[in-house]
Amino acid sequence: MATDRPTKDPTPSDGNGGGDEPIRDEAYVAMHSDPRFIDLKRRLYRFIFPMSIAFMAWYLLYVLMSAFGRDIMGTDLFGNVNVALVFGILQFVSTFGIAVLYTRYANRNFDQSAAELRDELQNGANAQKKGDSR
Amino acid sequence: MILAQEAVSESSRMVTIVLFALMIAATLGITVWASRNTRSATDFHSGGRGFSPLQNGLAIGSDYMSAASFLGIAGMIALFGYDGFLYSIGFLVAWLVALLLVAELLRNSGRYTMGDVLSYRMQQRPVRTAAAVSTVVVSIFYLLAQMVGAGALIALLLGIQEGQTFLGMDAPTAKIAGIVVVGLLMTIYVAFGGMKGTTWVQIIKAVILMAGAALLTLLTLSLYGFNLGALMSDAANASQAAADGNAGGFLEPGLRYGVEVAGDPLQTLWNKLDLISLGLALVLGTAGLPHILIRFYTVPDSGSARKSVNWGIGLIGTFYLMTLVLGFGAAALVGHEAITTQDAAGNTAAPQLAQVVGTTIGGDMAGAVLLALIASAAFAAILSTVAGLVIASSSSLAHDFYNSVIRKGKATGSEEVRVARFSAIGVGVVAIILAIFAQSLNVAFLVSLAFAMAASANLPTLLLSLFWKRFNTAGALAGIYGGLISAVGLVFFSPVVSGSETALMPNADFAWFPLPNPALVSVPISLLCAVVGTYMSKERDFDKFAMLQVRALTGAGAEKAGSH
Repeated sequence: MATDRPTKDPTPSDGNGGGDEPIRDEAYVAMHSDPRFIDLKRRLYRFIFPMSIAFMAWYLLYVLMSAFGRDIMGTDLFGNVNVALVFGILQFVSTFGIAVLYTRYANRNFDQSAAELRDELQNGANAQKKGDSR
Repeated sequence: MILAQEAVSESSRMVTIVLFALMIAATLGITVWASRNTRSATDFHSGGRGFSPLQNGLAIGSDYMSAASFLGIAGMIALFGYDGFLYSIGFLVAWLVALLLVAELLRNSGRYTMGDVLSYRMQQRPVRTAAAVSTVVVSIFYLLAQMVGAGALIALLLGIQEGQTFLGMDAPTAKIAGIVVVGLLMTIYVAFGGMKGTTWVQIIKAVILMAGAALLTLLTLSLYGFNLGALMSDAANASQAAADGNAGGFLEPGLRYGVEVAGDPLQTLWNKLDLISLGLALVLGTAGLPHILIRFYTVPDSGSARKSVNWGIGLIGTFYLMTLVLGFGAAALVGHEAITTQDAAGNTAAPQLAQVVGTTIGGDMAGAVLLALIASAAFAAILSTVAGLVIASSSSLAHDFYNSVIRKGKATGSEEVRVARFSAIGVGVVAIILAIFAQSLNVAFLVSLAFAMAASANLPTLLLSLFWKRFNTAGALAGIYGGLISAVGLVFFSPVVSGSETALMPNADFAWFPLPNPALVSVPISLLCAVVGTYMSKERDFDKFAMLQVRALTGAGAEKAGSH
């Protein structure tokens, strides 16, 4: 793949958003292959991708049933409450539930590690700057 | 129980006008305050990034619970029963895409617009241009939907019907006046108040709308002794479906979407595929709507973005559950005929319900006051949603197009703010003119088209940018333009535009695409374009991907809250 070329444009500057000193591009690239970052990414992906597939499948099942499974959807369960209504309410319940589950998961398994790596990158940038100015 | 047949009473109209005027005065006051506190580009585009998760959650709910979705879904449930509920479910589940895949990563890696994230790894100018085009096109369609609806709604909320006059205006003139007033207000909010003014207008609207809907829900339920089953059977028995001998159908899917046409299995199949296509557009469109995406920039960090989506999900979910009660309530207490006499699409079902419930509980005056309250909540809903759309467009024009494409990233913050203010005025004027000409278009069609475009053009490209290492400029451009063109093109060749009695051009027939909703085809086309475009180009820059991903996941280098 000798003909591959990188993107020409320079990445827009961070402004002053990235802490006291901008973080060097090389520091980001190095962090990307750091085992701790790989672990962080794995922990995020392990939740968000299976969960996204699950709720999409659950929602599409609901839409498909609404289109093609009308006999089942119209079955009364108790009083005039039918399968369609319960299935619909369950979509609300699962949406609220997944939001709660994700928030708990992220609080426990993600936020602290992400903050540690972020602080390391930003402190590294500051230390680098001090080193340069001497 | 049909009480509200006649025109809206004079007393109610006075209360409504007073409340409308109060609302306009309050929101303009906020705009003046916000304009004094808007100096930097971060203030203008992102409200200084200082909003709390609850405040942003309310504003997210506000962006989303537009008048079209409040009045439209309540009306759809009142007329078609279950299918209106089905529509609201797609709107809610869509927030999981935003929560799990988009909100935090976008907050960490972008600055002001959707284009920031799309273009991060790419060649700036072509991708920024594409992002600005897509942002403005999607927002303008959504804006048109809101404004066309607003004109008709204001006329109805003020009780101006065909053949009547109000301040010397007949109904068509009042509709145009409604569009112009809403257009001017939204332009003023955004041009002067920026994101700060817009967000506060949205927060207030969310509180008014939630309170109004909750009050009406409780009063409606109280008439049934809080027996939901009794309300449902009353609604089903009073429905058009019951008149057609199919009362049970009101509580099942199939009256509005995926309609089964007797003796025409092919059309039945198209109708059912269209239902699936609509479901896909609703669930994938939300996290691609530019005015929703920029809300994640108004909070201090990605954790707050997550919390604000959670607040948004809670508010929106609760709201749609209340809408279910309101829709059934309108079906049972107002009745199909009274609703369709007022507005064929059922958009006034909720205000009509307010009048009937108020009158039943406390007499005519209570009915007038409750009607005025709900009408005002709907008016607030119109104003805040259109403001959110205008700021999304003007931010993208100023930041993506003017600064990055024309000035090659060299514009100063104050220059960018000035351009954004003028862009807001430009977008406002264009939207007013287009809305006046688009008055005959169906509002629901415009909304579903905006969602289909967002789902096709924006979401696939956004997700590939964040998660696919090999993705590049050619892929992003192919994905955005391919999605946009296929969504618009398929609608153009669908029964919505020609080939049926209800089409925009009923006398022409070039409809070879059978589904009114294009997402089922246009989303895969966009993905295919993005993947093929990527492999056709040799550009690959894994270092940029590494930078984007480290920033998106850790929050290193993320924009911080303004220091006010």
